[in-house]
Amino acid sequence: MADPNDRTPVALIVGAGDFIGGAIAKRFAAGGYVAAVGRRKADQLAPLVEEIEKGGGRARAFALDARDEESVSSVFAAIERDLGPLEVVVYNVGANVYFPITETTSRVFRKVWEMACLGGFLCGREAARVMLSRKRGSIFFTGATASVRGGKGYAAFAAAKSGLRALAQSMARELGPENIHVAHLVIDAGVDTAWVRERIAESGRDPAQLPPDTLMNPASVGEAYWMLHQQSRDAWTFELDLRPHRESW
Amino acid sequence: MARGALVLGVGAEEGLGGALCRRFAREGLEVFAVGRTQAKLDAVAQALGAAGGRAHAVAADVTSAGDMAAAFEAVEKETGAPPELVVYNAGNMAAGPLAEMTDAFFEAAWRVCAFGAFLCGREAARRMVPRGSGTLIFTGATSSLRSRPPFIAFAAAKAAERAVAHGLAREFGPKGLHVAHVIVDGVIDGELVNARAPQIKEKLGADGMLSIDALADTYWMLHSQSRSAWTLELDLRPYKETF
Repeated sequence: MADPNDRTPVALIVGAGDFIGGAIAKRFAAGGYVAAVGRRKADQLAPLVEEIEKGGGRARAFALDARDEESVSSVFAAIERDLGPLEVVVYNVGANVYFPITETTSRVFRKVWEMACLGGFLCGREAARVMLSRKRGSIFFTGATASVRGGKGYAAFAAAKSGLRALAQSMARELGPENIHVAHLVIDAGVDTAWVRERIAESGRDPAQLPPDTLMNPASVGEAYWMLHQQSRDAWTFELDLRPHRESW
Repeated sequence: MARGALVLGVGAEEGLGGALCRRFAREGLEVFAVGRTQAKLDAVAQALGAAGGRAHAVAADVTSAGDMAAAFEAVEKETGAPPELVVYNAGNMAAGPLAEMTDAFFEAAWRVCAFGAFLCGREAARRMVPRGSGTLIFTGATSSLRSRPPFIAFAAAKAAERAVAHGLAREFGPKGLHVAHVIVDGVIDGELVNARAPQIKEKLGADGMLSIDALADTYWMLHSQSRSAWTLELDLRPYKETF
């Protein structure tokens, strides 16, 4: 149980997995927030929590299935009760799968949508509920190239990510006047993580042979989330894109 | 060596151009304020100087290739290097009913937004790209994405300016030049609007307009981004804005 007098604000990163969630959590912890990190298997978050704590920050791991309404509401309630006021919620659950359309099963299509879109709704709605009571906070959604463009083999992913973007846009219009900053970040390139390097290797290329700056540094991406949270409400950004300088698009 | 910031499209102190100059001077850059009206530029430069910054007033026509080259030249002459940060902030919010619009009116909007942006981008490509680093930011508007009366001439020009920015980003990003396009999707709480149409502030209230200093913060943030994760485009609006 946390000290009831400690009102250090909390930043919840939903989907603090192998992509950029860890970097976002580290950035907010460095900025003085308690980093609440969630993913389905909480024990996999132990190294991240340990790293943040070693660096002098505060972090707590939560087992969270973003597709499950009850799981979402109980984690939000536990954070508000035990950890502190939620001031930042980042929805960062990835569901990047590649399937030609004829090989995309309805199960895959539904599951990708549940992870990329439904989970964003459940977490976004819960975030809105707690933040509206205080009339402050930031709700950020991680988007991808597929949020704005359906690519070959990405029918399921693009459909879900477009849905998430539409959700974010609707929430921004509704919650902005209530002093809640909703933003959508279009990550328009690969980020330098073990997961991305594995995917590159799977596609038959050697990730060690990539030219420098082909992949984004996760810390640089995390910085963009932090910067958005620092913006004055007199000039808020809803959407921005991010790519490394070498990217061609 | 001094680091130069070139801000093109500076008018009154209490406008976005003036706020950008102040923000960049605060970060230690030597500021070159470019605009049409010498007296206004002098006021901006004097205020920066009084606050301990280094600033120069450069009267120029941003739609003239010769003037554009001279503005970049002035930075190189004074600081010994091309500017590390350039903002193309010239624009005129040209508004008028289409049926009565003259050819000259339409063309003038295009010259200041699109043609000037091209001249600026070309000069940046020639002078900044060889150094392999630097930032070039264009000020866009709601009209960059959406055309509606009475801003048809302005929207046609701003859409073209956006195309210039996007093309520059794709061509020169890999060569180290960070090109960004900022979509200012609200009414700026600055001299341009407040002098021309004071009723707007009355209607929107202070919170309903974009603060020039808050806008300038985001321009500086863009310049501060690591080249590992650059933003080409973002939008900005006050929290109360309906959009």
